[in-house]
Amino acid sequence: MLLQVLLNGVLIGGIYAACAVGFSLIFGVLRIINIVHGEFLMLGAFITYWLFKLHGIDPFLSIPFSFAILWILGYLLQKYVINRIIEAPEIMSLLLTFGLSLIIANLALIAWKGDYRLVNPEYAGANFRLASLTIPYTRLATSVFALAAMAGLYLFLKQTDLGRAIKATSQNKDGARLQGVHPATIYSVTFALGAAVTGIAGSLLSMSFSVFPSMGGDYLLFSFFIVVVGGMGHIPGALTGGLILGILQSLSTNFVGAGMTYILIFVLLYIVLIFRPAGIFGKGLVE
Amino acid sequence: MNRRKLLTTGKGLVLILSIFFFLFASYLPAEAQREKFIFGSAIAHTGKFAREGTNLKRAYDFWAGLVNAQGGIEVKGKKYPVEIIYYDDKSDPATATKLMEKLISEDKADLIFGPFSSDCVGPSSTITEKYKVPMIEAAGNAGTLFTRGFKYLFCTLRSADDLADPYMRLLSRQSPKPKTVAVIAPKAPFYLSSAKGFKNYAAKYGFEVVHDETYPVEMEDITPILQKVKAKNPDVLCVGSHTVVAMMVMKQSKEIDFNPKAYCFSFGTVTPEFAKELGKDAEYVLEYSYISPKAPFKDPLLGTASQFIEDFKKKYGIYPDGTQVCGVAGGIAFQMAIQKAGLTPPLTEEKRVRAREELSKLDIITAAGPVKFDSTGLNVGNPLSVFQIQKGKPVCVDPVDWVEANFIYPVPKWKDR
Repeated sequence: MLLQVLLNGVLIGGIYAACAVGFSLIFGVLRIINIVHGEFLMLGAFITYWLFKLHGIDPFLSIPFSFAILWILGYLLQKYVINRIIEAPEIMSLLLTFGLSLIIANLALIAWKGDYRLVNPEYAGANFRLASLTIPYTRLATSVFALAAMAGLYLFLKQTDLGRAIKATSQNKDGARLQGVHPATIYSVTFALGAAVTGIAGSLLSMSFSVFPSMGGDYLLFSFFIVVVGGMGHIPGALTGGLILGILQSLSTNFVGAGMTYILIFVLLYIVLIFRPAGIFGKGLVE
Repeated sequence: MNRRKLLTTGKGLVLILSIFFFLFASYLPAEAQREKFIFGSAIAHTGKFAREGTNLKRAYDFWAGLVNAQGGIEVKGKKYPVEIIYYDDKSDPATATKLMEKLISEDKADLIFGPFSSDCVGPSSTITEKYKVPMIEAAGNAGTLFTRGFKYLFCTLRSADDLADPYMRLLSRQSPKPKTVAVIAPKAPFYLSSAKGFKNYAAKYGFEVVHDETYPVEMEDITPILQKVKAKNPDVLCVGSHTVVAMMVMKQSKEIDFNPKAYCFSFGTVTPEFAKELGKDAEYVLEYSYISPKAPFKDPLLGTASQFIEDFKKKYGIYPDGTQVCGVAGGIAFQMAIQKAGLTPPLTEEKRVRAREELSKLDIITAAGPVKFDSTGLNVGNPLSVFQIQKGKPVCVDPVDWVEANFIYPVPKWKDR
């Protein structure tokens, strides 16, 4: 039983981590708390839902569409809206992205109504047994995809020129500028990349959970938890934070009671904020 | 008179006339001439109950459409059409309460059709109680709403505490009889009331409750709870639910290969979205209702139960679920109370008090089921039926006289479906 509980936690934790990694990236480079993040997840989930329902496209094959559409949306939003207040105090970006999230969520509500929808392909729910463990294929596959997306992002930032330019801008904007990096372009690309990875996470979420216009709120909250625990702006920390959240949720629901889960999550959040404000590895950004 | 004096006098006159207008505006006789009944309803068009709210609105509209097709409600030989003013409460109790105030004080609604969910009925009924406006609702039957001593709140549903009765009755007749039951429910009034009913009636019919757990409403991943339930291997899973809860329970049960012999949901599976979204994974679940095409009920407005169901399906393309059936019955209850008391629009407070008295005495049979309110305002006249989803459609499997198809028990395991 304990092994099954831990396995459930790890599988869901992987998806949670993918949900938060875009949030962490955007904060790390642009220094803005992106409240519209939850809506990026929702849009990714709806892209998968509609492609599946209307065109019969397999949910996993819809991932490139989510990536591309959210990339374009993220790029345009940053370039033409968020960029205008990028040098303003942080509260401005908070207000702006909050407003944008309200606009997107309400447009989705008008377009798609408040119905709860499911992406339920033929193979959904199929599982296999490994010793005493029951492992759902879909959750395993979504978790693997989530880890792959994060690994891809990590390698991109580490191995490519553009990735290194993003990291340089994150560490020292003026220094990066002296090396010929154009921060405004880097900001747009980073925001687009963060949105696109979040879109992938939304697609993955839709395969296990219901899809509806206001779904972003809870996942935004989870993303906050993950980036605080893993370290704000520290990409590998998102994986740790996601796994901690997934396992904590699974353990507390099984051994303490479902009602205590949210309490425990926030108690841990406060403990980390007080004793390890830069995340449990101490590698997050703290002003 | 110079220009300055003229201006001052003009301002004075405007001020005096304004005071007179406000003093006497409330005595203007415009309302006395109204030739139609105005009903009000703040109900979810958006938010988490958007689909259920929209479906319930259809039930109110169905009744109003039939009444208006006959020229309206006939009182003392004259017919008065009905109009329903709707607002979107966004599935939010605070919004529902504000809109209720608006419906009564600004729109001068004579009577109120309730919102969707016990969450919204609870606070908004404090407003109808304050203004003495009878509210009939068909989607808020948490037992706790009816222990407050309210006089103007009527519910055409049975109490959620009692919904489990027909499931347990049906299950107790199976051979071999199931022995154990697990009950799970999100923490909100309707779900908790349903869960209480599942436990009470399980005990009454001799089942052992091996698992009983509630969880936060916002919890989407209930796999950990289902894992715990699975470990106890219950024969029956009972869930306090609406559509989304029921969908997640079925999807996640399949993922962890959890195979109880029966799934009982307190609501949300007859709604067409359930079968549409889940496909074949929606099969075999149980939900209560109040009628069946074979129920022996009829009335002059709807015809027979079978005719009512067919007409409803023809108009909206969906099978009427428990709340829709009771929504239509609620319209007929209002109509009967108005006619019996001989009330003409607009309904003043004195007339609304009389309407309330008639409702409390009502004992009628409609094609959408009987209506007889107890002293708390709950309908105790209508019998409960059980539907099972078979081949994507809800079919009545209990009580015996109303059965459309045999109850499939135990349900096939996931791997055999």
